[in-house]
Amino acid sequence: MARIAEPELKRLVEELGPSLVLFARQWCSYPDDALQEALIELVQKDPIPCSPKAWLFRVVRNKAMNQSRSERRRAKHESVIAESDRWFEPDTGSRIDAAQAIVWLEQLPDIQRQIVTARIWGELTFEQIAEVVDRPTATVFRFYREAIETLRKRVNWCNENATVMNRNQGKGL
Amino acid sequence: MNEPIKDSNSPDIDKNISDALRNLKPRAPQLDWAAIHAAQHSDGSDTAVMANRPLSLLPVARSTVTWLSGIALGAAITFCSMQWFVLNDLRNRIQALEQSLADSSQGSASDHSVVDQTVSGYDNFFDPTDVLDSSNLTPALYRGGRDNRMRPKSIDIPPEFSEKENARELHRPLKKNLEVESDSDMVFEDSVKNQWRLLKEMEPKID
Repeated sequence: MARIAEPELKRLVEELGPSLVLFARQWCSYPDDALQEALIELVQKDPIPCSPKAWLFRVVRNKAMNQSRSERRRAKHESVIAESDRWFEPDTGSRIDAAQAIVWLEQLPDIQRQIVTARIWGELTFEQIAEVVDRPTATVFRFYREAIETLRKRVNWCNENATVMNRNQGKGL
Repeated sequence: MNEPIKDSNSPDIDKNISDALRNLKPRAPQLDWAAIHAAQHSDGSDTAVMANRPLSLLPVARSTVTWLSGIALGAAITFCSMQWFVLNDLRNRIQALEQSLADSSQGSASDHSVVDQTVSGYDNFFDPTDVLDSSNLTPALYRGGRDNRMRPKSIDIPPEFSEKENARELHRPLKKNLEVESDSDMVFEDSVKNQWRLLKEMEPKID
């Protein structure tokens, strides 16, 4: 029974920090604060949780939702989406544009966006995601498949449009 | 933790999309490590102290409320049960009285004075002419004859006293006589006789 060691904490932050920030960004405009509060709660927790990874996602989710409730009381002119270019690191070499990915993610239902974020960037298992979002594992898997199918259709639609535009440009239209 | 559902069942296009999304690196967090280290090396947070305090206000208040509510509930149950027993006993008594009354009315159905207790029956029960026509009309009869001790005894006119005795009896305080002779009915009766005689003697003088 002891608190978490500092090397373990740094490893968790290096491994999960970016995905946790992305996860918290779904609800609040200051996800770093949510992660900060969750890490402070983690270092004070004695004993440490059995699964710090899932625990962090769950606590960050709760902190971000609380922060979102506070932000709703503030003035609406403070745009939350204004920092969309900060979601991802620039020039990562992905074949999907970061801004386009943000739009697609925002168009997903909330639960599907949470599951995709936790699965792809957090690399949580479906059982861990089920604990985080309070849903059965089978439901989580079904939502993940639906979200991936939706994203696949949009990627295909964009690729077809790009192909048509390139063909038209080649024909001189 | 084992993963029961694998992405290996997903089509390649889904895996390509997930891989493409995974290549997008989320921005690294900007954390205040000084605050985290301070929290890590602190002896305990305020919340931990509050949670470990044996006599914190919240548990004491909670237990107090629990005890008080329990006592109030017990008192209420006791009161209700006592009320039930008392009311049940009263009901039994009333039923017994009604039953006895019914039995007595059946047993003396011929007795007009008992059976007929209505207003019209009361007239038949109490006929003033019967009382007035009675030849033995006395104060005791008027009282209903309930207390024989209060019935006045017959007064015999005593024989004539001498003048000396009359003067002595006349000057003797009545109250003192009553106090002295109140122990015996006979003495009281004699005193009344004397008083009666004296009054008889004084009647012509008043006229």
